[in-house]
Amino acid sequence: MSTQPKGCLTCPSAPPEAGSVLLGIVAAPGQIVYITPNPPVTQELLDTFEQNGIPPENRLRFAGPCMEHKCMQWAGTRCGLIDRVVDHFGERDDAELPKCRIRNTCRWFAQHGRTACASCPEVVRKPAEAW
Amino acid sequence: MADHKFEFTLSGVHLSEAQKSQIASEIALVVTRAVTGNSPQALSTPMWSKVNIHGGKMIPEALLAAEAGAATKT
Repeated sequence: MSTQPKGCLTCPSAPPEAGSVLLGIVAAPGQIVYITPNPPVTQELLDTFEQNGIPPENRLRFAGPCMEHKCMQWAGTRCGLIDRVVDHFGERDDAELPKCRIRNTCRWFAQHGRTACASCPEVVRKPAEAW
Repeated sequence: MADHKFEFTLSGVHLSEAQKSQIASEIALVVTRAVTGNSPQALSTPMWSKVNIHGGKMIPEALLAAEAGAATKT
């Protein structure tokens, strides 16, 4: 990611905004189709999704720099969101890993390893009732 | 896990950044529509609300500034 400072970790559930990349598509609850390489997010891309009736924060997942304390999910020194998700689903480190382009810098993978990858598809930014 | 690779190379032309961005956008849209259908509906499951796993919400800048101000006063 060109706008990401060196050493900064990547949030796999970032807002859809310029500077982010398209991580994947939510095919169904708990199922993400990961895209490699990740298309960069531009206003044109977001406009295209809107014009085609695709709710980006529900049917798409974006990745961007982890904002740490600027994010409501930040819990002291770590991402509280993936901690809650892993607490809910438990350790699932035997799952086959998808081909995910951001794993090397992923905040969630850094905290929970393969268990984070197994739980990652369960997350959306907005459920239907939030639209 | 099923993987599918589609590879395209455009040769013989110098594309501008705008053209490359447009191509990436169109490909992303086509892939999205192929996966979600032509009229994708917003999805929900009871679990999403139960666990509150709605990803990365940014704290408004004004609130951050107010908190920083309060911290320096104490």
